[in-house]
Amino acid sequence: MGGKDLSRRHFLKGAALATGAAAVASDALFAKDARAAQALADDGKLPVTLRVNGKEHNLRIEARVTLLNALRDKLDAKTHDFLDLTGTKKVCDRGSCGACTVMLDGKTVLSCSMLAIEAQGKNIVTVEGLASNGKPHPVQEAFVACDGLMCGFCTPGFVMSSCHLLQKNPSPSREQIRESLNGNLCRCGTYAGVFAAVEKASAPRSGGSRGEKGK
Amino acid sequence: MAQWPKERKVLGKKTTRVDGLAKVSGAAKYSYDINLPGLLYGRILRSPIAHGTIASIDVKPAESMPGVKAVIVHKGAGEELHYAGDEIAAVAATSEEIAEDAIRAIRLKMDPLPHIATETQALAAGGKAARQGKLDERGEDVNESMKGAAAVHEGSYGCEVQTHCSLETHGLVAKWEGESLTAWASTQAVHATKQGLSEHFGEPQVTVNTKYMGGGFGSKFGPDVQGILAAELAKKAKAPVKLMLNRAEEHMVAGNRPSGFAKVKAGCDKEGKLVAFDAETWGTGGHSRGAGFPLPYIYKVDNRRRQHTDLFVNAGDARAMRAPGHPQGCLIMESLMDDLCHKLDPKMDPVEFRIRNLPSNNLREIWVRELEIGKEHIGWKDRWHPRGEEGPGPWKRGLGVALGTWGGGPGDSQSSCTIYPDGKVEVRCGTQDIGTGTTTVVAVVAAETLGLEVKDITPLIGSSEYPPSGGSGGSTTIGGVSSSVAVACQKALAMLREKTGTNETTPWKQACAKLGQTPISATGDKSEAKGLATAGVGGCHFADVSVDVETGRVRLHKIVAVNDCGSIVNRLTCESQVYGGVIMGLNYALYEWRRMDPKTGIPVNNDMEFYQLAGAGDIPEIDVQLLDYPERGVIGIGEPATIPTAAAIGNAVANAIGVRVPFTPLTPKRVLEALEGRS
Repeated sequence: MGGKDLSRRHFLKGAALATGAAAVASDALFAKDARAAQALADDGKLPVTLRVNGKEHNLRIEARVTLLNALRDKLDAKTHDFLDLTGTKKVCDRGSCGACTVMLDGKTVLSCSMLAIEAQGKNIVTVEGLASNGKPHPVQEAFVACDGLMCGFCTPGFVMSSCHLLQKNPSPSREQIRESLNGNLCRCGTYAGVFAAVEKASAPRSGGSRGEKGK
Repeated sequence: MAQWPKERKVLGKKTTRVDGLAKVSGAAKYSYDINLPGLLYGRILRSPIAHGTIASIDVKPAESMPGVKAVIVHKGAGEELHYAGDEIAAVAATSEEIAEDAIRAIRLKMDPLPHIATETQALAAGGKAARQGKLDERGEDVNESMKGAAAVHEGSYGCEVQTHCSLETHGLVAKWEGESLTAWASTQAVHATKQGLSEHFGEPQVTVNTKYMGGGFGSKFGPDVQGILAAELAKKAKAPVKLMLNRAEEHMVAGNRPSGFAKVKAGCDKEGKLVAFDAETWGTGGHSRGAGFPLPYIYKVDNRRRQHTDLFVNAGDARAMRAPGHPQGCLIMESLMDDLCHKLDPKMDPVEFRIRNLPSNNLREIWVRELEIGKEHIGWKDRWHPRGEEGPGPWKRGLGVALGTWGGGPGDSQSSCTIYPDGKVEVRCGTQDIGTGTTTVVAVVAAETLGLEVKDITPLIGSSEYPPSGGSGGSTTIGGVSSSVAVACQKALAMLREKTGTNETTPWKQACAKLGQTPISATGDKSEAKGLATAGVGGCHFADVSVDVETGRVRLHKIVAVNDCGSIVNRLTCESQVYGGVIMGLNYALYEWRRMDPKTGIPVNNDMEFYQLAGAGDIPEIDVQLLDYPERGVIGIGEPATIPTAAAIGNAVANAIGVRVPFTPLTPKRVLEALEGRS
């Protein structure tokens, strides 16, 4: 909507173009990469390498591109193919709903709220990377079995958060599940199925109701 | 008259979604996910103020920006804009980032006009902002009838504007090939969207694809302005364009449920039977839509009067939202019923009060049965108490109930069933799956009809190339689609038997092999199967809450949802609809509220932080009791599942604290004001 407010994204773009990459970026981003400064001056884009689900992608993108947009919209500069990792969804784009959840070096992050360039050098795992040897992750299977999904748009985010929870805490209580998933919003109202699915995919727990939908 | 089989192998059972794995793995491609070679990104310039005319607009800075491939001026100098967010111009660029730069670069000058932001301001302004409808008067004079009442109650009730907040926003990807247009649209209506695009562009060849879509709740029934603009941009730029709204736009312009307010006076006799009902009602549907809702709702009252006024404010237009009008009418009526019951006799059971006022129609015995079941599951007999829970401490506990009703008859639908010599079966239907599980319903009905398993069927939906079906609204999809699929499959099966001379004792693959080289295909129309789907459902929800009288906070313990929808097709996805409806209902009761800044007329919570939706920690125990009425035919569940929840919660709160909190959402502030007698 109109307005010339100065956003962080604008600042980075403007400053980088005017003064070269080194002035704004930390060593971690551009250490010893003179080509980066050169490349930036031409079209405002930088070479950014992302390692996603074990595969390396070489992008040429502006510094202000979010990790979410990089995964969903951008092309590999070498193959000229879209990364096409659209499993991670854009819903609020403001860090409020969890639909864009990915894992970065084993921790969940909101990909809409970080720059792609910040994710360089890290292990990124998206929902597409959860299956192994063509077999869905047990959490994914549980979501289908318990109908923890409806339109499906929030589902990848919930699946990622659930997987992360079970990695840290293989047998969470119902309360721990709720707390862990508090950052994922669903409009269709699948929470009952989601709780049941996470319990189904959990390691057995002594006592208490497990996998009962609605409780 | 057509009938479903008495012995059901698949129908009525729990079947997991056939598209479940695609959705949980990230493989499912929604419109927002479509990537095409050379794709451009569309973005719309919108009015920054609530009301005004365009003094001047200069798009040259956008046109000359590197990466911008097309600019369209939708409204020019002198044209009027009616709400913050109203569309002005659109650009297409090589990246979403550049498209946003281009929008910001457009030089726009507005001449502000006076605006109206709230219902209160519209009522004060009067004139064109407050359009009074025709007075609805029936039976004897209400004032006379009121004189004979044993108890009379007067109250104010109401609910605020709610936005659909679909997780996938509105929009589409448009691609031209010569004079042919293909659109991947996030829509509840592939055929209406195709028609809308086709009419705008002078009847070119149009195909709309919507295999997956991320929610609509009634707001997505055509291409809308943004879809048309996307296709215009694509034509101008000679490249495909993706134009999806962002979250702020989605809240502002993509639809909402109108607010609904009422001043009601009602009287009953000493048995509790309503004798008179008199209501003034109003609400806003934004800039140009009405805010009607049914009132009285469900209960029989012969002597009644109602005057409704539609208020117009400078805000985005309302659109149909899950059970249009009913949550509002239900909330107001059920609050009034509870208050009147308490007035007549604080010790009277509100369930009994309601039963005495039920109409004598075919739903009466369904409601009575549902109320019995609901009472049992919430523990009504042992735990209901007259209003105002005694006892120490700030937390007060209460129970509440509310009834709902809906139609949900079968929408138009055609399907085709193709049987291949290798035994493969494809069923095509130009319907949509908006999260309800329609894709799986197609497979379930086909499997039942053909005597196969769900995994043997390939359901194909979501394309305007498939036999036409109506839009997915009104809870009409399941009746229409299951009917047309059943007919198409019955016909195809009959063709198979005739062509191959086989019967059900021949194994399927063997029978199909006798087709030789040629598959067979048959189409079915819902109208050929009268009796497979009907209309008219009830439903009642019970709520168990605690209220902290020091902070005003409402805590939900349990909601019992007893619903009916005729003959259940897929119990798993049908129950999910009820869980989902209950959650949307509790959101309506406690959290959702589209807030307008009364001074600037700008909506202030266009996001998912301050437009509040319940998260995992807010969801209570939900007990779904879904009744199967196989003899009634298939009826829709999507809307009835959400109608009475908020009203039940409101009544539970009143029961807990002893006073009515008149307006939803029941924020802590409103609860405290009610306790202080300031409502």
